[in-house]
Amino acid sequence: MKKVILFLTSMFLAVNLSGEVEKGTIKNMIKKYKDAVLTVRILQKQWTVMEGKEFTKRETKNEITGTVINENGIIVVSGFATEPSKFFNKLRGDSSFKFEVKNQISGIKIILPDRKEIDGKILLKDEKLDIYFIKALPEKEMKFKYINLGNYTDAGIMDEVISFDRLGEIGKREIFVSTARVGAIMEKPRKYYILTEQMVSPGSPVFSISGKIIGINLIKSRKTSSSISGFSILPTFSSLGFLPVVVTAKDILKVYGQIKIEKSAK
Amino acid sequence: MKKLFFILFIILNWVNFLFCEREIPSYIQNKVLEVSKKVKPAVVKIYAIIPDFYQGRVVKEEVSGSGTIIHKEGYVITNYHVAGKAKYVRCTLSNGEKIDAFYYAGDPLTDIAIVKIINENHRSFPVAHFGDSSKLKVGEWVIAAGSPFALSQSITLGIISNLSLVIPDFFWPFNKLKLDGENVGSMVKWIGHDAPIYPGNSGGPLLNLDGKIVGVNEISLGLSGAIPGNLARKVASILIQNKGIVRSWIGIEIQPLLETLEVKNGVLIADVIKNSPAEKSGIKEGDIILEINNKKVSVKNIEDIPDFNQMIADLPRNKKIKVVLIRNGKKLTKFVEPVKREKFYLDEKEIKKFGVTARNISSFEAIELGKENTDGVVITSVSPGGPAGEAKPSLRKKDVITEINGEKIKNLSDIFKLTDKISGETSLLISFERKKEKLLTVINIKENIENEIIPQAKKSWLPISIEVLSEKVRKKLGIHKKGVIITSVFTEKNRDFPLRRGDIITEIDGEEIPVNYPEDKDVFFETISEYPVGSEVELTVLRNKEIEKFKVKLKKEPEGPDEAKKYSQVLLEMKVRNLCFDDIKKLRAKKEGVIVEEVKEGGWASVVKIAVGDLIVSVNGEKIKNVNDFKEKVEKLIKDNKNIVFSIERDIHHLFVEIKPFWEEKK
Repeated sequence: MKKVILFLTSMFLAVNLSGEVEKGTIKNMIKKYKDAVLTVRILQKQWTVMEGKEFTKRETKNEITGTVINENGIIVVSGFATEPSKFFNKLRGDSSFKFEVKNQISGIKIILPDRKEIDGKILLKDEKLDIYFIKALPEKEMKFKYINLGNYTDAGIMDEVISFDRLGEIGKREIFVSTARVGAIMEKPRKYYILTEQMVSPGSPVFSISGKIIGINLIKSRKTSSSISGFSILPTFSSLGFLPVVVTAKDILKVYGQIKIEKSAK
Repeated sequence: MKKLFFILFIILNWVNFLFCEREIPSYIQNKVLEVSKKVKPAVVKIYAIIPDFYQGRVVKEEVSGSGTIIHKEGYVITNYHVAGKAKYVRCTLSNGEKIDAFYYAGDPLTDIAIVKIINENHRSFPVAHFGDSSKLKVGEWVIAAGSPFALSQSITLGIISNLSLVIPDFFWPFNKLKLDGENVGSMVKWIGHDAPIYPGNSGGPLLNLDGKIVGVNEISLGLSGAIPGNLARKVASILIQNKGIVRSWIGIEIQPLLETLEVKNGVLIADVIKNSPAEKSGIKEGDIILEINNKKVSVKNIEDIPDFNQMIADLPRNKKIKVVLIRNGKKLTKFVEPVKREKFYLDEKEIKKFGVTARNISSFEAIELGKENTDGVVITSVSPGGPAGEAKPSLRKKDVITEINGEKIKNLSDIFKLTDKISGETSLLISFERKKEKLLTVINIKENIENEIIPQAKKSWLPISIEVLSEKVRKKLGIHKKGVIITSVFTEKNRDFPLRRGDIITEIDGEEIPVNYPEDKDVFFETISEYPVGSEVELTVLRNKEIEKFKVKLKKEPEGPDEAKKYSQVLLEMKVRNLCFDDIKKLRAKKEGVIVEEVKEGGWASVVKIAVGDLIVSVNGEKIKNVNDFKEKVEKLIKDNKNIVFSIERDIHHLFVEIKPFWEEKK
């Protein structure tokens, strides 16, 4: 499981900062958005169940990237990165042998740019779209820097886009900026952008070169009958049952609307 | 440790198995039949539940071994690694009768334990008697009896191969069998024989052809190894009489004489423990002991070590003994006063609020930890996600807690006094030692959030299951359009929902469904989920080769397992949840009950083999509808200390499971 994530992350992490983007624009964007891209630490128990019998639980910590989407500290993260076991089971497909990887999230920490850590909890998840909404729970009321998904734009094929990510602990969680182009656009049943170079982690925001949000890097996954026999390039991921995609800000807002509805219903 | 025993058994026994073919003379066969008949009633299969400590919690480990009834009131001799510290013991007699028993006493240093059969009716049990193991000869026929792999009683035949079996240095660093920190090989010189023994034979008797116990089977190193009967008898007799064994200790570690030494007889002192009687008497490392209490002693080979250690263990305590030794070629006399030997490791406990297991520190462990005294509590395992595991820095195995919130911690009761007062969320400043460092950390004690329900985003949904019509199927059916076939409809037949099983959906709102392979079925549901909940779609359907169009109102998808109400039963260490739509569609008939979602390894539910995915339909005969019912009934039974019987549906099968928890764990 870890290997899959590590592999994915390594595929994402390839620096490319060239082309049409002006460095001045990027500097302004960094200033504006860097504090809205945060590291989220997920603590969870993971275990396997074979034919109904549980095997030793391991408690694991993994750090993922999240995008803050409002001033109250609602953060969008990737479900694939948050709960890899759920997606492992999905990718594994059906089998006559009852085998499952299970997990239980036991804690969430949001690591702020000043390295302070605050608790978080999952408010809503959309496993189909790979969107998890996490709410930061600061001890004292605080306003978060955020990326306004309402101010979104569309992208066209081969448009250049900019992504923001956070490096891991070893990289002192510095902001990591990279560019790519839109290599494909899926229109149905919903719109997804597929970037030419998957440079960043799932959960990181993707902007147009004018600085408008396009969407968030996430993972599209599906049960597949393909066997895992090798890997090299993006289409191979797809045949394995998962594909890094940009889910549009518009679609994320649609799901986010359910949180609002549930709140108002209460 | 048990795993090490198991691995040694498995790896090494195949060699034994391959090479142990031999012709058995008929008179031997007759003897074997005679012995088997005579001793069988006294040999028992032992099932035990013993506590194990890892990842910050105490777990129940199921163990199966063998034993022999050696006293008519029901005292059974077995191995300490089978029944030592067992919380529950059950003996199965040769006639299949199962009788509850309990762990009576044990000695990890010789790996001998006594189990006592609960004998309320004062039955007189058949017994086996000890023979004299010192009279055994290499080449003599022996029989191993017991229950290998928890099978019913079995016997194997072999000959004595070796009367001084020790684990050679060749196996270093795996040449020590340790139980509770005690090195079994320091006191035991096994009887090597080639009657095959396997896991489960442990604790069973090694018999001579007179049917007398000459050993207690324990290990396999290719050759099988049995604790000599005379040693086993002596230890068992003390354990039955005193419920424990007390040995003498002078505080030396020894090794065989070096070849380069001029002295050819004697015992080389490798190490002298600080503040021990030996150190106090002036004995130093490098000294060679020649005599103890006027008796000549010598350790030339590792096979001689257990005999010497046994002699030291039997020395009288609180009385000076005379030790003659050689130091730098000069003969010296020292007087040592042996003291009572402590346990190597003291008993472990779980500190639930910290997510750790820990124990008080014995003098031996203090030396091992490099501590000046036994103050503090040593951590033996940590739950990585628990309060101590999450602290920064996190606590680790072998850390010694010395202070909490500025108060000195001398032992576990100091910690329990403190944690008993804690309710709700709090944080504690912990001062601890790690090797030579003194460190500080803060442990945050929080409410458990594991049963929190995380809502799923709700999408539009159709109460059907489908399969994609592949190109080949389409061709056979003469259908030109791509589509999906309805395989089940999960709703009552009514006008509001017009779809039927067997319908082929080819279009959604006039658009073709782009599906070709079985894995494409998500495309259909993804398309449906794009519509707002409550909206209407027009489906083009092929029914009986006729094209029909139906308008269907899309419903909100039902709750999934993550959203179902859950309940964790702490004593039974299991979690159940309400049935959800995914479960109901899998069931063959309409059912009520709760689904088992989690069974912690080593917990009660795991011990009785409850499986994840089981449907519990009743508790002690009373039907349950949901988590609330389950919780109410189970909590009442636990409050009243009553055994629990679950009625369970598993796939097409039905079964009952009975749980007899240790009620003291409620605290």
